[in-house]
Amino acid sequence: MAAPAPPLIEVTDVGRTFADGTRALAGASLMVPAGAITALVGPSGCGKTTLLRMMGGLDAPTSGAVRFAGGARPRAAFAFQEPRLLPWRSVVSNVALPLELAGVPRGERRARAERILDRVQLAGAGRKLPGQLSGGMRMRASIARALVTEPELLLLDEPFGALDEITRQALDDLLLALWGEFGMTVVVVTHSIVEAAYLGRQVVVMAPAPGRVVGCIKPGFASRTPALRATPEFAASTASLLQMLAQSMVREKGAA
Amino acid sequence: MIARLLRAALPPAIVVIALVAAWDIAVRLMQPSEYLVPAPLAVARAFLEQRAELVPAALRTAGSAAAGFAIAAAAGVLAGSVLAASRFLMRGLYPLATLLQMVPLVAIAPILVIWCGYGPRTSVASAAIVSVFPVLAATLDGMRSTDPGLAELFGVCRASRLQRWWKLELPWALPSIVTGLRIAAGLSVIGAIVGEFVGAFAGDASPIGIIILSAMRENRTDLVFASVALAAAAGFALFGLVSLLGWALLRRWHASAG
Repeated sequence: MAAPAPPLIEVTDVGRTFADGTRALAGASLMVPAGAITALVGPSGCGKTTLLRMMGGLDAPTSGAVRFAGGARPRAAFAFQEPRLLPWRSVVSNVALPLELAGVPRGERRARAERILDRVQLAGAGRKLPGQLSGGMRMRASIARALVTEPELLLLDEPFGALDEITRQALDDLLLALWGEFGMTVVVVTHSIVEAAYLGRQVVVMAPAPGRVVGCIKPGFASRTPALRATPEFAASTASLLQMLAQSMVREKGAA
Repeated sequence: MIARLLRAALPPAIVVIALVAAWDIAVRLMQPSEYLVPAPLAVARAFLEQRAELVPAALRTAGSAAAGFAIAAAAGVLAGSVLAASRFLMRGLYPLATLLQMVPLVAIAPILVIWCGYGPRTSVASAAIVSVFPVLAATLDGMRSTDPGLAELFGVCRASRLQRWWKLELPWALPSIVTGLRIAAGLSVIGAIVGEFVGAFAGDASPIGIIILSAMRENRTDLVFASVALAAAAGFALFGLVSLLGWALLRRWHASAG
């Protein structure tokens, strides 16, 4: 295995209390290595989405710090659980939206949007409206929109959570292929242990009430192909993730 | 497309024909004085005899209504957008706008005459005033219902306030705005005629409101009926035009929903 990449993001002892007194995060610490995929997994209310939003600048910690390599926030792009496409715009013009808002000239943004649509296997669907696409296709359009700005950091908030299992696995493989091609740092929030183990070079396990990091594993699979999901070593990783989650629950009950 | 239009137009056409037939039969049976209820044929005859005067009059009224409607559409969308952009302004101004809406148009019409003078300007102002509120309310409601997820997306992309308005809030509110515009189109003809009742003068360029008043004074109920029908037709035409425009604007919305 290669030497560990330097961290792009360093989360140190981060706490976040909302205005209504909810403690979304308390003392969460983790490193996000540059150019790798980090998965944040945990049950609802463990603060994983809040942490992701902080990495993208959509939220700020009430205590602790989120630091970036070089001091400046990297160019980040989000994809959310819902595709969030503008229903009146064609797919290609939806994908080009971030470039349009940044003032990129029309011809260039079209070309870039069509190139990335091709990469997510939506080359023929550019002129369609979002309502004419399937759920999986809409999600791919949403991923394409996030990638069109060629971000250094891709933040995914349960991106495939609303899709059926088969579509979801296909999109996980697509995401791995895109990551292999573009090499950006990816942080993906998921509540699926299988997805976390499959995607993550580093899997961070979180627990709720208050949200915190309870462990971290680094599955060292030689390759990630669909066949990996059936191997004993993959089963071992998901088992250790499950165990971490179960232990955090027990500890929680013991404390109460 | 044409077959669908015909199918849509057939039931109301049958109802209208049936109503006119019932009216004709009732007049023949009960024989009221021509002054109270003229027969349909008498109304048609009055229209044909006076058409050289009636049609230009209706066009003048429709012109005032359309001008008032255009002003109301622009002002309503603009004011609705401003109110939607600022919670403070909305809290401060929206109750006031609602209150103004409650003031009867007929009561303020004389004030309009004082400000705008006798002539079509009063009709235009009256039409604009009565149709601005539905547009404002529809714009405000539509924009305030903007999907928070999409608003967040625009935030992530660092969209400017103007980009957010033009590329997100305005298109998002469009179905609601079109509904407001259709209501306003119907109201604008009413507003124009109220304006004419108080602020227009009889003469070579009489609008339909003046024809109605003078026909009434001359006991020409048939002519009153013909004028009213024409005014209704003008309102219907304006409503139809706005509906057509709305349909064209919303095509992408419908395609996406389907």
